[in-house]
Amino acid sequence: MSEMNSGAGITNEERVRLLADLAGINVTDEDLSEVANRFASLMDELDRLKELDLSNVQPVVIFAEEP
Amino acid sequence: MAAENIVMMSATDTAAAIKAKTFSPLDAVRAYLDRIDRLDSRFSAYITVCHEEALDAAEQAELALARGDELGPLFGVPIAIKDQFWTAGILTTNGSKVYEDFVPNEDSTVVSRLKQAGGILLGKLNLSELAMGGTQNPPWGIPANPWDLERTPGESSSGSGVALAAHLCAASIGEDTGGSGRGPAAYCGVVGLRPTFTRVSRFGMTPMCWFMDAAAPMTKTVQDCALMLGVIAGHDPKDLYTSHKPVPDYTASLDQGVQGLRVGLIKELHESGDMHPEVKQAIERSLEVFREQGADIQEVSIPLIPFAGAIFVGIADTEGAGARDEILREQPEKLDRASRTRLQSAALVPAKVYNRAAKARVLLRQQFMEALNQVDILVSPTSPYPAPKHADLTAVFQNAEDVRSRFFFRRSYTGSYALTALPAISIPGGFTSDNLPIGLQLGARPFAEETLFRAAYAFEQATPWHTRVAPFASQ
Repeated sequence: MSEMNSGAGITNEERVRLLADLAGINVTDEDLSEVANRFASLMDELDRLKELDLSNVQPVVIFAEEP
Repeated sequence: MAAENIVMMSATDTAAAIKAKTFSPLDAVRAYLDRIDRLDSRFSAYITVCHEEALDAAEQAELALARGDELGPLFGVPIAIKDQFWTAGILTTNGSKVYEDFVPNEDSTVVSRLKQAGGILLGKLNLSELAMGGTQNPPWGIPANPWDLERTPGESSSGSGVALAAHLCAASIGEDTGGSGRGPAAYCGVVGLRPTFTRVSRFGMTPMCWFMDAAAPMTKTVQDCALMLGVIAGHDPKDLYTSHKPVPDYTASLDQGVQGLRVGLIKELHESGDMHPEVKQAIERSLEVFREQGADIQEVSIPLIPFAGAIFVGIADTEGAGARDEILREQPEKLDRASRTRLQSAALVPAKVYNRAAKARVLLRQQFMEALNQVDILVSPTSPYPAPKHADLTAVFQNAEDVRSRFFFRRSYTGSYALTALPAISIPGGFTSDNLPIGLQLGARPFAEETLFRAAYAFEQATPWHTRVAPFASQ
């Protein structure tokens, strides 16, 4: 479970509702479950990247022609 | 020549036949318009068919031919464009109700260059909403795969793949942010290229993710693809990021063969347990085709590539959600449910997580470049499985694991080239036992499209896959 999905005492749907409110995005009751599933999965997948040593990597935009 | 024969021709052969006066531009345009009118209700490939404009352009072409004007490389060739590219005075919907009334004032650079080369615009092609994929109820109909109408033609340049496989245009331009051109090419049994990022102007191409969007020539043959790229590539003052590198004649070196070329199978993708067994067999047979022609076959490792789907979605969807913020806030009800929930979930991604994905992207690029120091061409399937059924693709996600298996995994195959700004092409690489196309994906170094075309052409000429006609297109 990712760092964003692991808060004690709060469900994925409640977390999404909270974040959406802060971001000013209106998630309807009908969509809430699907948005929560998508968000939880995205966070879990991106959490796998914590295995990588990224400490010396600059997050530059990549162009085809190297500087 | 009979209309039913004209529509089966490649763009290259169509242009040659018109120059030789075997048939006229009007003959070609009428042949395609008649076929679209007769068959497209079955496929929903087109959103807008430009009957009047195409016939007018064909009449102008007849006059140019009679005058003896200099003729461009696509002179008289009927082409169709994904409805993500601006066309002056012609509806450009981006596959979304949000843009159902959008009529641009000017052409995108891609469209402008196709016209300058003599191409005749037949119409605007269907796509997944906002070029994202997964649309559950496309406002202009569900595009159907000519190989099996119950299956998806791939996304998001769905209409481009369908129109080519059903012979409803001679050539097309799709768009490829993370596989949106190569995916439909694979599922529809045609050719689709993602050029090196910055090779082709993005001006007038409605963005999905600004630093990954790429115009994608989609064609019936590799030679057509090389021809189309030559027409649309090159610097554009309207898109300052386009490269100033000269544009070669991509068709000139097609027949140089693969003798001595180093071809590398991407180990991590090939060993994936999720790959369809017939897709895996087709890739192995493809390597034999290259080996028989003198290529040196190796295996290469790109350890980060299984993460590419997640990295891609973490960056592209998050940027896409930012770019669509106004729509998300003011008109969410106009979006298809799949687009809306995908964008809303991406809009909630924390900055530190996005930053991690951006760093992983840099590492992925390094690993690709190291692999491309060992080989000239990278090989994998375009998709790990053949075209899924519509219902399977658009079903509501049941849980997070369902999202992972149906959404992230397949994106590693094509999204990795978008993340790394490298060119890649999908060509017909075989068929399953139930007659579904399998896409063979080849990748190369930045601006090495000539090498890519050379390998793709050698493979195409040595195999029969591109000559097979889709069952629902043979009428």
